[in-house]
Amino acid sequence: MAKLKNETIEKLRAENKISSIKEDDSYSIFVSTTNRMEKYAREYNKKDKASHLAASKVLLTA
Amino acid sequence: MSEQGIFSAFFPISELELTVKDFVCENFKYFHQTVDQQINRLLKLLRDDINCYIEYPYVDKVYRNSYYNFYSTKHNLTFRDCARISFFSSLVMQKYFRDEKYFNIIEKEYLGFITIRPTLPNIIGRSMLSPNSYKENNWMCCYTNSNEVVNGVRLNVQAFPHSSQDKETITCAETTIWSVMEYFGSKYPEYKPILPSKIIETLSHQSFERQLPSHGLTAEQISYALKEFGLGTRLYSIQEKNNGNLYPEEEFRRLLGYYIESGIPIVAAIENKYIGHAIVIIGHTFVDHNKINLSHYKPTKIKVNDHTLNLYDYVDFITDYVVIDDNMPPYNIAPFNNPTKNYNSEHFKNCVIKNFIAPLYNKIYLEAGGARELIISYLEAFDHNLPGKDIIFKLFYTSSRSFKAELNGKMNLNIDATNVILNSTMPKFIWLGIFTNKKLIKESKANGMVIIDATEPNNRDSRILMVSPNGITVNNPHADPKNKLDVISIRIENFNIFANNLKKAGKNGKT
Repeated sequence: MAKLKNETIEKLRAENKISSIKEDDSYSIFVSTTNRMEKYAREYNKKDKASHLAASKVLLTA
Repeated sequence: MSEQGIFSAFFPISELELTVKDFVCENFKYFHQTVDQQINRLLKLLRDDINCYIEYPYVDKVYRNSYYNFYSTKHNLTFRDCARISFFSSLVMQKYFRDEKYFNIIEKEYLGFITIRPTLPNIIGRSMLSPNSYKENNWMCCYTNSNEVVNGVRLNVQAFPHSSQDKETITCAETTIWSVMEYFGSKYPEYKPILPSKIIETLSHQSFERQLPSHGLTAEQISYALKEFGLGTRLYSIQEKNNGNLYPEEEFRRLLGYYIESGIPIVAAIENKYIGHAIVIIGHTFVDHNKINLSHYKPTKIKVNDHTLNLYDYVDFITDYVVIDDNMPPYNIAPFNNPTKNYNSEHFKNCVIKNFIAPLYNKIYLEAGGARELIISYLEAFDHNLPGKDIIFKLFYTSSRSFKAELNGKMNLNIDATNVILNSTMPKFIWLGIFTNKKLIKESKANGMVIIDATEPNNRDSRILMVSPNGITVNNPHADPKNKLDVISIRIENFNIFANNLKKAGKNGKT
């Protein structure tokens, strides 16, 4: 019976080419990314609402 | 069936103007002078060696729909038939259309068609014109296939749907909706082409007065209609003096550019103090990679460890966009800050793009701005080792199918890296951020990229792959905290930039 496998990953693992970023470093990346994205989302929501209002003002007829 | 049957004629393009004038005079009873402007504008752009084939009567699905829903309800007689003029890149004769051995030749030479409808002053109706019919076509844009039967032979052309407005059943706003849906409907099975009566029916729920004759739509109504037709629309408006909550010009322009780079036709609402007008932006003119002078552009500063990177948006290098404008021939070329550059009328001077609607696939939950922000945050956080301090950044979304097919055949990435990416599970659509620099871009090469799940708006759950000279970093949001970020140390050489969203005009009359 054929056994399913991800040959490339197994090969790279055998060659010790796959490692993980340390948990603390990984967490700090997670925090900085999350903070940045939350700030972006707040701005985006404001612009999104204002965009809809602005887009309802002018009739496009020309 | 008409007793007289179908009248037709072959003629060179040099006789187009006269032929159309005679035709509208004889069949629509118009003064022949009334067609001057429309035909001449198109003629100036078309190649001089084209040959034409006119047939009348021709039933055009869009005009016939308008006819039965509006024109036939008027007291005055309006003709219900159109004429169709097909274009060929070489001389074609009647005998070719009756001999199967010539069918391939005709197909190769076919450049699309325009329809002539009885709707003064805008008589050019539904058209599908190949960019190869133009004298100049130094642009990249999105096209769809159109299958037509001309003189009994089935022919195919790649083009973008165009029509002028008839000013009564369809104004610019309805024309843009029709054009976008004609594009999506003929290209993807998820959507259907629509006709003017369907637009009216869909918007009737939002309307508090009669809809015909049309008096236009707002950008918000266009967005609503496209959403009702199955697209996941997003709406963006540019900052005004009295409204600081909107998108600043630079951000607005870049967002528009990212969607255009994604091969998505964008509906733009333009305004000046006299008029409001809707257009579809479908691509851009070529960017000469040898002439990019970074000192002319404003980079985004990114802090990486102890140094600063200058991130230059590729879309800033775009000078002109390709526009489907129902007052102009197809593939009108105009810059972002002067979309009505080619108009003669004073009424259209100084127009600016105020809003745009991005008709996305309805499960793309991460929009362009979010994708950009996420990519920048990873660029700041990961150890990527991208050389130099000036990075050129190209952002677009694409289907993972297209990406994987292009990656496997054309991108020329290291074989292990290719396998790692090809064996990664991906959603239907991904955002792709490509990193290159001033030197590499001249060879259309890149040295890094970030692949993001376009169906995940929450960065906490976003699976991300970053390819850089240091190897591949994989963010597995659902992995154990110890293995959230895996680094696969593979040497990444420069690779070819993915370029499959926008198409160039091709040889032999085909894109």
